[in-house]
Amino acid sequence: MALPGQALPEAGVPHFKLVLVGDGGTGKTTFVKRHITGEFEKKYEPTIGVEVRPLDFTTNRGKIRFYCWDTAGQEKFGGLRDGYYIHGQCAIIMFDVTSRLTYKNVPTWHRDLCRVCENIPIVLCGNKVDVKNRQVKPKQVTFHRKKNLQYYEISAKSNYNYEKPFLYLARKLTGDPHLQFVEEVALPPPEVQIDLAEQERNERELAEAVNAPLPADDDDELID
Amino acid sequence: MSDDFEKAVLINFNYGGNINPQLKEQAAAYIASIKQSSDCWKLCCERFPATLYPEVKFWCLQTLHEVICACYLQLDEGSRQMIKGALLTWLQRDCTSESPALPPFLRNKLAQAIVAVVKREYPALWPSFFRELVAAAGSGPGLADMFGRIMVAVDEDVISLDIPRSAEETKLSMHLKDSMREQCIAEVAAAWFNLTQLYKASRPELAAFVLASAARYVHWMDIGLVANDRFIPLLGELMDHANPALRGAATDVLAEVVSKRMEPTAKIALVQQLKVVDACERLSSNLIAAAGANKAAAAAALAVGGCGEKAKQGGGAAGGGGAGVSAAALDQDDELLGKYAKLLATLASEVMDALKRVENVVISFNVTGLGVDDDAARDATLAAQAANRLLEALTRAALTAFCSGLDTISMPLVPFMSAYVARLRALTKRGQALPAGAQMHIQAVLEGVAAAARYPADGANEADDGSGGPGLGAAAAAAAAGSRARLSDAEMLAAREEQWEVEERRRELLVLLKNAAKLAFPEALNFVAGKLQAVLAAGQAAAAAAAAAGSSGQPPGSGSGAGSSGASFQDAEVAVTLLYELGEGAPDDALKPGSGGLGQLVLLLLTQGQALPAGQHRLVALAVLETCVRYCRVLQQEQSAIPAVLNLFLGPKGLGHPSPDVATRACYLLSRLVKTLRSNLKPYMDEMLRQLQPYLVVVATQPPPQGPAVGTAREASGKNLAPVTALVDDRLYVFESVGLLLGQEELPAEQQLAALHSLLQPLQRQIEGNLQQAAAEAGARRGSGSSSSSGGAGLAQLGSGSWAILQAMEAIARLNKGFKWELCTRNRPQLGAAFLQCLEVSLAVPKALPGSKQLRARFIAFLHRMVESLMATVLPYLPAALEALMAREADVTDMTDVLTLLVQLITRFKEALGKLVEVVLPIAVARVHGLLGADWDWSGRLASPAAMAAAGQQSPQQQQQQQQQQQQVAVTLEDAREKGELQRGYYGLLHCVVHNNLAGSLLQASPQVLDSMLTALAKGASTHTDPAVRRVCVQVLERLLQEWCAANGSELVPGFKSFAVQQLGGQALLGLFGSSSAAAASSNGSCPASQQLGPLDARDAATVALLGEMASALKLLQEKCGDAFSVHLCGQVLPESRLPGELQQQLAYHVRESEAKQLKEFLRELLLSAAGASK
Ligand SMILES: Nc1nc2c(ncn2[C@@H]2O[C@H](COP(=O)(O)OP(=O)(O)O)[C@@H](O)[C@H]2O)c(=O)[nH]1
Ligand SMILES: [Mg+2]
Repeated sequence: MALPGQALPEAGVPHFKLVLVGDGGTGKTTFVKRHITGEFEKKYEPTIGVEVRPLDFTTNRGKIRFYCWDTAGQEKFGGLRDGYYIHGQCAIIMFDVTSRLTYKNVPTWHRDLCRVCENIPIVLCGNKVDVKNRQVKPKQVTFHRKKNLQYYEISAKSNYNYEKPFLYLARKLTGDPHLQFVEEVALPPPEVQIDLAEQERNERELAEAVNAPLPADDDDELID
Repeated sequence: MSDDFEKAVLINFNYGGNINPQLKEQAAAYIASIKQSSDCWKLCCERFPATLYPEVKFWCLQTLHEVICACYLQLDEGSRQMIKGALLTWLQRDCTSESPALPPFLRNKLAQAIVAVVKREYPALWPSFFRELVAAAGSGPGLADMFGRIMVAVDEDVISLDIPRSAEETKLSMHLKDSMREQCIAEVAAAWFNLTQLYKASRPELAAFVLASAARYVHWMDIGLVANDRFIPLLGELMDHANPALRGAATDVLAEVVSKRMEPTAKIALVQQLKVVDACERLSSNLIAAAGANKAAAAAALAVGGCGEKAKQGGGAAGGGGAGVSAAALDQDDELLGKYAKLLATLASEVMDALKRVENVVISFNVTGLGVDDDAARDATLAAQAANRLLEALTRAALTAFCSGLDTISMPLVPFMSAYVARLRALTKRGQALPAGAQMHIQAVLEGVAAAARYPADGANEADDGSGGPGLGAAAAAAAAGSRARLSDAEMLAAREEQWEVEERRRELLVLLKNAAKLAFPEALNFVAGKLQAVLAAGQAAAAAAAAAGSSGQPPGSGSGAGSSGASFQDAEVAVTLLYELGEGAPDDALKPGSGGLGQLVLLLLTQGQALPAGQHRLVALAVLETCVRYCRVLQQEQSAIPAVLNLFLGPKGLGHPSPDVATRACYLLSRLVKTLRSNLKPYMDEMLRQLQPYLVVVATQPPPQGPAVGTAREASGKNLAPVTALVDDRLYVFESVGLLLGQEELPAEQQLAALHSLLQPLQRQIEGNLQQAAAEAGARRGSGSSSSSGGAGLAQLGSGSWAILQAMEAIARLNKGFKWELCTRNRPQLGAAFLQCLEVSLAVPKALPGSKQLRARFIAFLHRMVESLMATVLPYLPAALEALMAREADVTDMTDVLTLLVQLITRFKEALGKLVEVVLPIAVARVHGLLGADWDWSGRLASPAAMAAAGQQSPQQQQQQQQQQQQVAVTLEDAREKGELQRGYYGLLHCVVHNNLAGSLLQASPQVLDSMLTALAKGASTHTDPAVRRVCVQVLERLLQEWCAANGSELVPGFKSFAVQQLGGQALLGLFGSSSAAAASSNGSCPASQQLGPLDARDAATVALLGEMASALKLLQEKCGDAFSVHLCGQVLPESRLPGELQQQLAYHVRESEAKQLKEFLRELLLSAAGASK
């Protein structure tokens, strides 16, 4: 069995170039470093400001690999900026839910990305949802709806939803909407605990906000 | 044949990792130096056409773009012309032909560079730009494509305010729009029309792209440029085009037109002009006529739904034909369907909004009465009438689409549906009549909700035949199912994920249902009743058929296929879920008997839930159980239905369900049911206990199945979450249920006791019987070096012996929860005795397995539970328990836990614990001192965060060693931190002892032990880095002084007075100023950091509290020890304090003469000024 992809690399594993963008400090590096293979096999390119890490996932159809291009510090190091996006096959745009500015800049990242990579699957990730005092509430996250992106709330530090973006991209890239990751991704234990009940409320808010210009009328309590 | 420059650029782009880093660095430096040069743009202009490598071309365009942005206007005219000329040449030459065409990313990059020039030159320097562009666009598809790209770039890089812009850029955006409106937008719009027209047949993708670029401009350009009798018919035609991209683009443009901001009357006129509504209406009626709204038909209806062209042609036949044609094509394109639905939703919402606004105008005219323009009033009224007609038609069309059952269509319509329901509710509240057809519409809304909330056919849950794995009935199920194939892990994951997605999607649908129910509860109730009855009837029919056909082998109600049971699991599940949610929108009294029919309907489910078709399906079973519990109060009135519900819970669709999801959830839900109905269940108790027995055995003895990881704890997302605790097995709720049942005081005592015994005995045996094996497991673990220490190691890693013990202890604790302490200790002490026996048995656990963290933790929790329920009767068991917990194997953190436990016990039992403290305290003290070690630094410096940081910085130079050493440092730091916690716990315990009137128990300790304690306290009081800890120590010493010494000179402990004078009156006081000699003495030279501690920070609230405590301690010393203290203070302490003489005298004065409060103030000022002086 082989996944449709491009030329097969080393071990015959289908692989895809994943571009990871977003303002500095949003947690991109932390996010890719969570993945064990990423941590141990990274190729560091300090002078040019991008790190490429192979992240492997095991699906019900075999292994797949994302070459994750973690862009960083581009301006300062005179890197290639959007040049890194060339031949990108999928992307994650990250912002930090504790910083409004990083969300405000998402459209710019999206524009620059799409200029170079037309029609690739993109996931928008709101990171650091473990932080109590978030500045960007789920209801305020609307960009993905305008541009048909997938959105996930994640927390790199607590592993919350860690594999979701990768699973979405893997499904899009393989054209198999039922693809599953079959092995648990080996992640280091969470550094912080996420308040699941709180996040549950957030996700609910997000779902209710999906098409929400109207005043949601749910003032009544349970009969129970 | 590439030269150095090209090579350098290519190396820069290469991240294959096989280029040596040095070369890479050189290449980067080389490129950087090129960029430095002032005429590097010339190089770009030369190299772009020359190179064959797209990467090099990209680099040239990128660099040019940078130059243009940085300094274009500063360049001389000639240079600017050269750059512009080069860009335009590439545009005209390299973009025309399509075959060796530039790849899209280079076309976009070129467009970006050109737009950067336009941004600086249009309109002042380059007024003809757009005209030239439009002219060029006509010379072939390649340039038409570039026209689209440049128009997109103009929007993205200059105009659109979705991209954050500075104030200056915002001004520029306005300016550009104004200039375009004035000068060229009409020509550009004509180009959009012409190019679309030109390529719609030959190159539909290109036509779609051009149209999509137009959609960006609709909201700010003159609407007449699109909403005219050329463009609109074209759009209508394209919406029926064979190419989906083109259909989508046309739909988007139309949606932009419809949502353009304008006056309500103008908006209504515009929608009328578009003529889309007629088409929508006719189509919806076609659709209703077509038998059953199947998905393809619904999709097709939408496909033609927005088509203006059809309206012009007229005739239902055309519409019908269109529907047939488009159905197949549409089926393939979800995104497109979504676009159609969005257009329909936008139309309907816009019209409703416009209607609301003109209605307000009409109302305000009516209110103000005379004096207003009659024409205006008439216009508004006419507009309102027109809008009402439009809305009527659109609502019908939207409802038809909403009922399609296809998410891509129905979900975008939810907001309109909600707004519509809200409008009807508002009309009702205002006492206005509902529009004609409203009743039908509500019905359709309900239908739509039910259709959209349904689980997908052929989805990941279809395969579920209710055999999801070994549930609670593991043994029985395995025997019965035998060869029945289990779902694979991947299938199970997929099924749960689909469940999660459906639950997400349902949330807003269910809000809609709730609001519809609030608007028209009887209708909603009827609707849900209809669904439920239909499902039940289908089940009965199937059962009857099966019975008639003889032995089909299939028991009724099993399996999920419609064939075997008459209704699909999707129908059954959604009917039950709707019933669950109906409660949210029901009036308060709906459940009361005789009012509203909700109670009746609930009873139907409660009594016939067993017979529900597909009832064995995992999702149906879950929904039924949840719903039964949600409404279980009904059973308080209708007790005759109780047996049916119990049968459901205790049978194969509840606790006995083969899927662990259902079985585990059933355990939790049963406990809620029992809590609510406790006394009503009494008549059934014997039978319940009998039926529960096998489940209890399974839960107690078989570890939960290791299903696939479910990700985050979500299974129960929508509904009441059982408390999630990582390591707890939710199946244990079944013991809680049994405890609640059995713990009722009204039961005959003997029966109760016998039943309890029969439950507890096997659990006790399970504990005893597994000790040996657990110990062996622990030994093996130690041997293999993998310690089962704290943190990550979950239950999964436990050996089976340890697991069995843990589970039995927890099961007993859960049973115990149902027994109130009055019952156990006063009214029926035999019950208490039964639990005490368990406690006695479990004492062996920490004894046999002193090193197991999990078992220790569970044992401590167990002890707490017993204390709650058995109160003082546990006292005799505590010494043995504590002794076992303090065994040699207990490490630093274990011991800290024991101290905490002791504090909790003392706080609860106070003096009653005196004897115990006498026995246990010396052991605890010895263990603490042993664990901390003779060279422990009591100042806590090593365990403070600052120490950690400092140690972290001392990383050695040699790189190889560094990591290893850092790890060692980390271990030591963690070790020190844990010890620091133990020290705090130790002080906390002593504090607790003396403040609960147990100081006397200290006197029973041996002199060495007492000495250790007092020394530890003294060091803490004078040197600890945390003022709060010092304060605790001072309080303990003060209290001892109070209790042990009389003013007449007598003392219970010989020498204690002089100790107090020395330590409390001496070192602790000096310690405030950081000049205590004890500070140096506190570490026995092992720590190099034994410099003097500085004075405390008097701005810190903890310090202030300490000063207050010190002041009262000093006053107490003065009172108790009088002269001896004064002599020591003046003769030794003050001179040593290095305070100025005057302050020394003042301090002595305050100690002698002032109130404690004044003394404290004085100390505070002393410290504040000392801090000031040292700066
Ligand atoms: N609380 C919290 N902090 C995070 C999370 N992810 C990253 N951070 C922190 O955010 C900072 C920036 O992270 P980094 O990965 O360097 O961001 P980058 O510039 O996007 O690569 C670091 O201090 C991280 O520890 C998260 O999920 N939760
Ligand atoms: Mg980074």
